[in-house]
Amino acid sequence: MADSDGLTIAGEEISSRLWLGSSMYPSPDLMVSAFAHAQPGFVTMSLRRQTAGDVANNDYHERVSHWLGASQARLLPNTAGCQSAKEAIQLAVLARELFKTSWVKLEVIGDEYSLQPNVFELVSAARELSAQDFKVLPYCTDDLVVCEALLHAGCPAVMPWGAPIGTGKGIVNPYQLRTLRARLPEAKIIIDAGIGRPSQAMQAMEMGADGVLLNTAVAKAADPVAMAGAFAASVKAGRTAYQAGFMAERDMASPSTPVAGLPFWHRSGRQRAGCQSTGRQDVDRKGKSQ
Amino acid sequence: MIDIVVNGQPMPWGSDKDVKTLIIGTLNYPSDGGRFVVALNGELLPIEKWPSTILNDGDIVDVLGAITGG
Repeated sequence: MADSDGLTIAGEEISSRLWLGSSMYPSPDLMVSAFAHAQPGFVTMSLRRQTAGDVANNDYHERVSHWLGASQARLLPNTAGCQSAKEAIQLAVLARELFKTSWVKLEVIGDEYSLQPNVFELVSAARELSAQDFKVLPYCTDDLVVCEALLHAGCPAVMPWGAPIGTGKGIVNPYQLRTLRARLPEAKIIIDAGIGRPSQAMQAMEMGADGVLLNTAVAKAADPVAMAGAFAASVKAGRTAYQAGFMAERDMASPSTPVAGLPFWHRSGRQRAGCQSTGRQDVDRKGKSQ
Repeated sequence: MIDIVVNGQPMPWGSDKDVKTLIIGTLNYPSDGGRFVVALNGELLPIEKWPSTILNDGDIVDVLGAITGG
C-alpha cells in the first residue's frame, strides 16, 4: 500500500506519506504486521537507560530492525521526553550513534500536562542539530512563525501537531493548517500527533499536508493491523484528492442532472408539485407570471 | 575506591579502571556492541574510547538502548 508520489525530504525520497510510531502495540508480532500492512515511510523509536538484560532481550528493537532491513521504510529516532535544547541535543547525538541515522524527530516538551512543545528551546536545538548535519524533523505547534523559524534553522520539514499527543482529536485548528499550507507552499508539512481516525488523516491530507505521523490510533486499535491498512488507504486517498483539486463550494443547490429536455419543463415547479400558492410568485419558463 | 553513578544508581568503583571494564567486564552488557550506547556525563562516549577512558570520582555513566516510541 505504499503511496509515494514523490515525497522528497532533505534530498531523500520517502517511500510513503504515512509514518508510524512503534509504541504501545500489544506484541512485537502485531507491530511488525501493522507495519507490513501499512508500509510506512518512517518508523519512530527512542532510547532510554537499559540494563544488560534489557539490551539482551530487546524484542521490539530486534523486530523493528529486522523489518526495516527488508522494507523501504526508514528509522526515525525521537527525543521524546526532553525538556530543554541541551537534553534534546545530547539525546539526538546518542540516537545517531545507536541507530546509525542522522534523521531525528526533535521533541522538546514545554508543558507536561498538554505535551505542548517548548518552541523556543525547539528552535534552538534545531539550529544546533542542523549545524551538526542532522536531518531534523521537529514536532512543533501549528504556529506559522514558529514553523518559519524552524525552516530557517535548517529543518527540511516541520511537523505541527493536529492535536495534543495521544488525544485522537484530529485537526483541532483547521484554519491554522490552511494558513501554514498557504503561507509555506514549498515547505514539507507532516501532521504529527493527535490523529485518531483515518478520516482525520484524510482531512489533513486533503488540506495539503505532505504526510501524517501517528502511533496511538493504530497501536491501540482493537485490530492494529486492519487499522494500519485503513490509515494507509486514507492517507493515499487524501493525497490523491488534494492533487485532483476540489470543486468550488456553493451556498445554493445546483442540479447535477441537466434540467433542459425534461418533458414537464415548461411548467413551474409548484404546478408540477401540485402545491397551493404560498404567496410567492412563480414564473413559468417564458417569464409569464402564474 | 571512587563513587560513580550508573544509570542513576550510585556505585563504588575502583580507581584507574576504564569504561570498557565497567560496561563489559562488570555490568555484563553484550560485547558485540551496536545495541546500546554509553554516555559519560551526558556526552556520547564512542566505543573505541572505552578502553582508554578512566572513570573519575563523581562520573555519571548512562547506558542507553532502543525502546519503542511515537
